[in-house]
Amino acid sequence: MKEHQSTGAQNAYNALKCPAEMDMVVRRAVDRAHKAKKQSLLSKRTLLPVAAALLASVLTLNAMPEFGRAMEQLPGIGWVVRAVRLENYLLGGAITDGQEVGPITISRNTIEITFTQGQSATQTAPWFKTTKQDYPHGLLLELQGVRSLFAGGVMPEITSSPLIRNTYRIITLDDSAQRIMFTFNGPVEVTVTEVASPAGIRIKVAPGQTAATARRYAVRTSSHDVGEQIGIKEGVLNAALGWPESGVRMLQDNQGKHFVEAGLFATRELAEAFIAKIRSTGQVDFALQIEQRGPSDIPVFIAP
Amino acid sequence: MNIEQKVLMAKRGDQAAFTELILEKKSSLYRIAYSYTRNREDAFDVVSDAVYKAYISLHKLNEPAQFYTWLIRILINCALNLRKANGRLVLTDKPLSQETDAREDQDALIDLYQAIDALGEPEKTIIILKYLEDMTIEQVAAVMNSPVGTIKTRLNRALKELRLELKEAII
Repeated sequence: MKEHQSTGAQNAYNALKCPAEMDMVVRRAVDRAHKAKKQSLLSKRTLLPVAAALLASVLTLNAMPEFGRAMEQLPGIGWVVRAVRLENYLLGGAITDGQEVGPITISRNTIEITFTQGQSATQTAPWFKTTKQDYPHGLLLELQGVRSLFAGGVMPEITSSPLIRNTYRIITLDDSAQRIMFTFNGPVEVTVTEVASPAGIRIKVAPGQTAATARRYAVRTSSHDVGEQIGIKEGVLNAALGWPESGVRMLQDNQGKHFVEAGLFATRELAEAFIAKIRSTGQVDFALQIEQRGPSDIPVFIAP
Repeated sequence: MNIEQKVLMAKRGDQAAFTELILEKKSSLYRIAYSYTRNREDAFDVVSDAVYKAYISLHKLNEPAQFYTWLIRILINCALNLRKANGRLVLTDKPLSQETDAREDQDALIDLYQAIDALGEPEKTIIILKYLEDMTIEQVAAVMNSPVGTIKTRLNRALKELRLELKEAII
């Protein structure tokens, strides 16, 4: 079916009217599902206390010291909202505005992030997304509704961690968002814990399985000072490749400069074809380079 | 607020956020359902069933960005289940003038549905998603949980059949 041939069919299809009753159909279905879910939760709640009491009597004596120690390690004495071993990414927090990232502390294998509003610690973490990264190994923390970072974004020095290599702030042109990248020395397992009252995010890393050793070909821009220019390039590539599925990311190179990476490929030919595809959009008017990189290699500086 | 944020709110029990997510795509959901049922009331039943199932199992959705892909997959399964339950599709008992405004649209729609009805599954679903819902091959593959290559092969097969069916008609 060629483009012009499909137009008639598509027009006919699009002309199919959505009946006014659809709103009511949807609302009734949601109401019905909500009631059914509530009913199911109520049934569980009547049975769970019995099971929980039995379990508690068996586990309390053995588990309490361990649990207590674990809780002491959390930022403040917040209660755990969720704790997830990260496979790909985790979404957490709540929609808020005007928060600030408080002091970030990095100990041997743990990163702790706190949040403040005015002079006080906040009770709920802002909306966040943590995403595992490869080439190099890392973790990207994206925050929404956060307007500034403690001490103007100066990151803590890492002196005692065998697994955490460095941490840096990534510029964003959205003044209510912040991004922080944590880079690791090798493959790691990451556990992310969100706590509330007071709010915090705890990222714990442990040595991971040996990941793939294959080298990849990165399609990227040259290196830049951190600033608006690199932010604009990221926006242009995102627009050309269709955000949010674009896969575009910003990274720091081995000289502390930043660049935008449009994609990673198994072969140079694929990377070249991808550059051609980007060029064909007519939206990208700056140079793109290909950099070969191993899974743990820090990206290299490429002069503008 | 973007889709991911709304899905996150819905997962936390925000009924209004979930309803909003569904209503934003209500036309697409109705059109897809109608493509299978060819009957307004049955299309409502399919949408209602899909919305119910999606709300109940929302906690199982791991990637909020994929909400609509996941929802359409549920919708198609509901439509296919209804068809299984009802046997062969029954042509609409209402004049199409209730469904579309223009006479040429009505004719084109009749031709289109007759041609699509001649296709088997999953070719029918592929044509509806790719050419009528205007999805990319990758999106169709995601909805149908199949490799891109498989979708391409089936799409080619479906197009050959459609061309025979429609000859010089609307497509």
